[in-house]
Amino acid sequence: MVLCSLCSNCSATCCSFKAFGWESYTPRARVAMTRYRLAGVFTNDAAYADRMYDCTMCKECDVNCSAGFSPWELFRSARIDLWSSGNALPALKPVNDNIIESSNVFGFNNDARGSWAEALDDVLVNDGKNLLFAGCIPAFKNGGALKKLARLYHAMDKPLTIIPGGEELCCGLPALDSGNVDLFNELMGKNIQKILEMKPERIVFACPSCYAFVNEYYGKENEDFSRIPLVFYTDDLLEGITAGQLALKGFDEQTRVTYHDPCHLGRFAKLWDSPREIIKQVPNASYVELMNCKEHTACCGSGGQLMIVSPSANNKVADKRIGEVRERNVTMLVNTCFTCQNTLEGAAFRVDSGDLEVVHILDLFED
Amino acid sequence: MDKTRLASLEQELVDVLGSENVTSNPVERFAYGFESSFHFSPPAIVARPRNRDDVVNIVTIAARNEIPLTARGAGTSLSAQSLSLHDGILVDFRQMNKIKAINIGDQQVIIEPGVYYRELNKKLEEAGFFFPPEPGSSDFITIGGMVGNNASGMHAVKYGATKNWVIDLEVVLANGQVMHTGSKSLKSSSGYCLNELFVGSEGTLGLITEVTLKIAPAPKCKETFIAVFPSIEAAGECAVAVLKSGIVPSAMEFCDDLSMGMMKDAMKVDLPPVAYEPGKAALFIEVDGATAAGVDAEGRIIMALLQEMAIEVREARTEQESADLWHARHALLTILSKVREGRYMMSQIMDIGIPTSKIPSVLKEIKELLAQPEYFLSIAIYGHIGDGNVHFASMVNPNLALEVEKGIKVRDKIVDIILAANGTLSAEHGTGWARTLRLADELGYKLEAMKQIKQALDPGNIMNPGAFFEVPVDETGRPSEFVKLDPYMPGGDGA
Repeated sequence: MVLCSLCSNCSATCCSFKAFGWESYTPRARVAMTRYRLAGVFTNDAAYADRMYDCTMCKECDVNCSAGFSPWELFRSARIDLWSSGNALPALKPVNDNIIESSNVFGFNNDARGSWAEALDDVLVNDGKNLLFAGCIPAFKNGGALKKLARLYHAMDKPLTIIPGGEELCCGLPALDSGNVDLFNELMGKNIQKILEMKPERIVFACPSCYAFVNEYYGKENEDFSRIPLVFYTDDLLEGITAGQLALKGFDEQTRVTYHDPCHLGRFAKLWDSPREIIKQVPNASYVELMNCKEHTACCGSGGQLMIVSPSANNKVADKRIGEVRERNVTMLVNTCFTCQNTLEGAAFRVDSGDLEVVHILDLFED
Repeated sequence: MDKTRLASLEQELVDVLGSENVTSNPVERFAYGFESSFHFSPPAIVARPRNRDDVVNIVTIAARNEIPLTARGAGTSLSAQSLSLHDGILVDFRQMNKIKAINIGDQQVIIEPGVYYRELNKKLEEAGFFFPPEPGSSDFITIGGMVGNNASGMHAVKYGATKNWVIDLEVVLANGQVMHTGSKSLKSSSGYCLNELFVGSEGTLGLITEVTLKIAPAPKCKETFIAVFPSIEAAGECAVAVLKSGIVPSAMEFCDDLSMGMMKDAMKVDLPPVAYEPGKAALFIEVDGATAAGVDAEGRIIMALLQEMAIEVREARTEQESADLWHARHALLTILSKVREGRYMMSQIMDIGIPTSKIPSVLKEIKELLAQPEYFLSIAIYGHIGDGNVHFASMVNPNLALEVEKGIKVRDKIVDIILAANGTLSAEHGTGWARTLRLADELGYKLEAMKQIKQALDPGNIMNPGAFFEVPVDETGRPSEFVKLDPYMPGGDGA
């Protein structure tokens, strides 16, 4: 925090500021508030909590900081402080309770986490070579897509193994975003233990957020875990296309297509090539790059638990992102993240009356 | 402002702008109390206009209530230009962010003041054009702020400052009248050149609601060189030699040993190690143009000069290498925050300008001054040497009386040297309120003429009072730059 000179380089592209429009929602103001709060001068706890949680934690402020300071780390610490002091926003309690009670964000029976894989015995294996970490949202909400992913991996001769029953737990990101670092550590510890028991050769991720945060934290926690290669599924699928094992559907006529980098994949994990390469190989697709992309991608609005804390701000951020997409005069937006997909699909209907087709990248593949 | 008056004023503004665009919430007042300078001054109210009519309404209400108005873009001023110093209305223009027209055939764009510089140039890039003035803060500033401040940066040596690119402004005057300062013609000799009067007027004459800018074809080729010199004056001599060669570089930047060391540590950029040895200095030079052959030819001449005068010369071999060098240079002001060690930079000497031919002798004189024990002060020296703009980043702790005393002595000596060289106290950061201490010494009767213009256009003095005409004073009434400081900046009272 000492490094921050309040230059405001972080503010212009901040999606929280774009949504709310007032200076107090800029990273610069959040840093200033924190300084004054630590000095005992800024005493409005409610306003402080509000501004700290009205942020998607998308980390673009870090990318833009010339001084090498990480506002994101500061905001993360602030949330931990708010949670531990009982000042976190009440809206965050249910999701944390769900995770505590059921080990997933929805509060569903975690034993049902693998139900999407029923009747997939022909394509799944138990050897653990390619262990799938499905993630709460894909497992409970996008089972159809996971089925397709499993079939594609089978076609590539890299059959997936799933973590059985309810033993895959939430990766912990929603807890960490809330500031509930103890819960995050507990989940991380249990997931590491289970995964190490299964002795995987590599772990395949279906969710960019799980991928980015397991990548960031789990390996630092456990040396044995750090030796396991972590793979995001698009890297494998691109190889499958190149090897002729997978086929893309293609469009009947020339179609302008773009890709939205999820923050956790583009900015955190810096994985941006394979999704683009896949899209570019779709027959009759003309690939168009968005103005804000890769490391400078714009958040869909759902990150940092903003979708829970302030759904209206979530929508505003998403609408602005769709606005950027429309400016590129494209007819299709492709996602690799199921949360971004859902959020931006909704925004497309609000902003674009549904004229823009918002699809998940798995939909581009032949079954 | 008392509560009754505040409530009444806020209601008037809400009636015309809607409650979603007006606030006196203490949290927002706090947040708008900052800019990129070291000063802190919260407004009474913040208003966010959506269009010109909103601005007319705000001005009319302010005039009727005799309340000061301060315009603000991204709030990146280094001179307390974008702070409401007198408990007034801060007008945040960032909602007025439409690019109204890009007319390549007319070589111009028409935009609202809240458009970000970066966004405009991203759009222009698609057509192969650009708006050239590129301040170090180019990634996060608005065009309105650039016009209000007459901003410029590294490329001013070839492309000039913002004023060279403004062909028309729509402004709302203090009486609510809307006026255009120019035309849509690329040149005009009709009447006074009001474009130049309003560019750099820092919101003291009116509020800008629309900007028409000339644009230029973007250069297709660039070459970047970095050279290290045995001394600061040797670097200055080489800069003058480059300018005398007939080649106009697109950027020619200068950094002393301290600045180079800071860049190396902060940016992990590959710089010649000799550059941060004590006493050494470096030049970053860029040439650009439409063809590789033309740029190559200019590059060869520059290279020959550098090889003759420098102790080490490098040419960036790849675009990435070049981008890394310029990125590091861009970040220098922010990087310098790391060496503040509890100290503030003295704004009076932060942004001086001198005729380029006098750079070697002036830098030599100042270096010799700073070497004397009674004037010794940690100062990083860098800047846009191609146009004579040098930044002296001094470090003074306002809580240490001896340090303040020495700082003032150093500052006044440097200002004397600059003014004796027919220089200016603000080449690109603007004057605002923070840089007025010695302004009268520089401007002479021009300051009086400015007052008369101000009086004619803003008789109620509601437009950004404080800028240009008010000298900051401390609680004892003594002129001082250590006033309205943000106490919780690193190194401030509270840190």
